[in-house]
Amino acid sequence: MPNNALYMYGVVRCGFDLNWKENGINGENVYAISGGKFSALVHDCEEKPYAPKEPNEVKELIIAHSKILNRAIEDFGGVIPSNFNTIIKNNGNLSKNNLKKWLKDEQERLERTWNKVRGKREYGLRIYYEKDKFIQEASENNRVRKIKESINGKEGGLSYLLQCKVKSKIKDLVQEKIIRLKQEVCNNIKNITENTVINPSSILLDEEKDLLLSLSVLIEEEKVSGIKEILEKSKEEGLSFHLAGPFAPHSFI
Amino acid sequence: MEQKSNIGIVELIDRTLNKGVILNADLIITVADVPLLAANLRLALASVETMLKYGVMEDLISSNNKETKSLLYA
Repeated sequence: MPNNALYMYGVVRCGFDLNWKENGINGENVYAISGGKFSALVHDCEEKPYAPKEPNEVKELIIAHSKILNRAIEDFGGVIPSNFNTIIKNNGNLSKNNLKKWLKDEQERLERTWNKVRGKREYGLRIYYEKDKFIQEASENNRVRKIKESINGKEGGLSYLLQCKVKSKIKDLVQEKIIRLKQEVCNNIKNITENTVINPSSILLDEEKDLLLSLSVLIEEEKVSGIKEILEKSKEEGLSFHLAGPFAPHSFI
Repeated sequence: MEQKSNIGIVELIDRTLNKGVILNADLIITVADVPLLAANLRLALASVETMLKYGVMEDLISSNNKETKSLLYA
């Protein structure tokens, strides 16, 4: 099968064709095809998607894709990333012409996106809370203690109802604290990041902890230490965190 | 340590497979089996116990999602 299609990594602000000479997926030569003010970073490929069979192959291909995007941020001051396996088909015209036309047609939209992501990186932030500690703290609350004391000497149904009330009160207190901490952390992070989005569902990889919040944040590299400071302070409240990245700004396109 | 590096890889995979600049559908080859690849890779990275926990946690996150969004976009 001839290499008549183009694998596209992303778009950068560059108004001319460029032999970038970076090695992408499987060592392929990555170069820039321009259309107006923007260029797409591509390598020549067959007109079919990559179809790795093993998880490790997927991992390798994705890391190669990601390396090109990180390199693009260094060399061009930013990148508008494409998904893995974005392949421009021949479609009766040459893929190159299709791509040039698309870049020109979409210039306004690309400009808006570029202005948003230029010079910034994306980080994945997971914030965990210590459930047992929160429950322990709630069970020492004055109102909970009073209900517990009132159980003494009671029997049967009344004792059972009061125990239910204790459980319910503890649950409410834990929930209140979770909501308060989410609000505080979100507000503090919003103050120093360019943009923030909630990740709708996330895999929890550490079974020892409970996830309070999973976010994607768009931030200038020099401000990342500010996030770490906020999170360090929140440790006093029984929170811990994991910061992953930097990534290309996939969540902000 | 292993788990922490896995979190980074999973975060990278989620983004690289699912999020990026949108091109006209007639320009690109559509890849239908990418979500399946991603699911297989996640399984390889996460332990069975973790995946069970994930099932439980996903419900919690979904139920809290509306409230969390209102906090962020308030």
